[in-house]
Amino acid sequence: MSMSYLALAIIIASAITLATRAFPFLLLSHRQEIPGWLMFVAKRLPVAVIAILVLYSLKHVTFDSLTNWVGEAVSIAVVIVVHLFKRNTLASVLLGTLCYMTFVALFR
Amino acid sequence: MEKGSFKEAVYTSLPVLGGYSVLGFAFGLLVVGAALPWYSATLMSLVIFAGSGQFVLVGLLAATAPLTSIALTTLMVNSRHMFYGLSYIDFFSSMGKKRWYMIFSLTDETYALLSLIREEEKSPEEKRTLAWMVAALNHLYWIGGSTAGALAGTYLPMVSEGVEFSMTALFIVILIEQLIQQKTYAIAFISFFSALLIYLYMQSSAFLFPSMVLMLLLLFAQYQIEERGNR
Repeated sequence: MSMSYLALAIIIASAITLATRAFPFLLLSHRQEIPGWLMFVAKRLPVAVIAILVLYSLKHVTFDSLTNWVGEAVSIAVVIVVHLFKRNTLASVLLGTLCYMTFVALFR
Repeated sequence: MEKGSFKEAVYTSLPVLGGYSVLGFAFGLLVVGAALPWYSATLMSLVIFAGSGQFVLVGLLAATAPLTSIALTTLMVNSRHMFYGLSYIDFFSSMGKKRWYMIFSLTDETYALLSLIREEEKSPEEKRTLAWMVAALNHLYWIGGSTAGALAGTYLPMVSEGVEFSMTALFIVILIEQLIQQKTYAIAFISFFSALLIYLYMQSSAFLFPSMVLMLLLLFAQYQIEERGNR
């Protein structure tokens, strides 16, 4: 990978992240009303995107042997249960990841 | 005065210290695991400052994805940030030049802390000072955590196998939070399974972008249909 590719990619990601956060300030400084379709889509898009990201982060999972999916399944269950009870992001992520790392160390 | 508010800013941001140093550490390990130089973790955390966005970016960089798809994927992944600022337009506008840093650093966690700060019984001036200090401290925790993780992954023999699950866990947590707040279960369900179908068809991690575009089109179609129904 070339350094210029890496640098450009980081600059682009940075600029676009900033643009999403500055979005309401850029629009409303012109005293414009946000179009209805944009409000509608932008309100619902995040949940759709995050659902896809969950799948994306699990794309290495296969079902040809038990060790290729059971660790993931159990750790996901841990994250969901811990989060529904505690509503603490750190606790949920930490316990889920430790569970998964333990599984990997023992069975792979 | 400044000293007192700094102490208070540290105290206010403590829960994020735990979260950002651990998540940042996992991010740093992931960066060097993807054969990127350690300092790119520091750099990304310095100039991007978006947890899920950075996790996804590492995957795209490792696959040397084209810059256009990096741009569009970043836009989609961070789309939830587009409406965070709406809550703080007046607050940030009163902060002079610091408002640009406040906008830049408006992560999920900073957003949550600012909503607490705003409700506190303090003078507007005290609230403004506390707000930018908390935002800057969160940024520092994130940079520190990711740098430590990247350095540890480079120079220390560490057990880091499986640490990539922190990304999955983070996404699941954000999904649960969004579902609790927005109650858009059907959208999450349709999104997940249509992406799964696209993935099974394409058999490659390039399914990410078409899946997101499909959801964008479906939401737009839903808007058109509901608009027509309202007329």
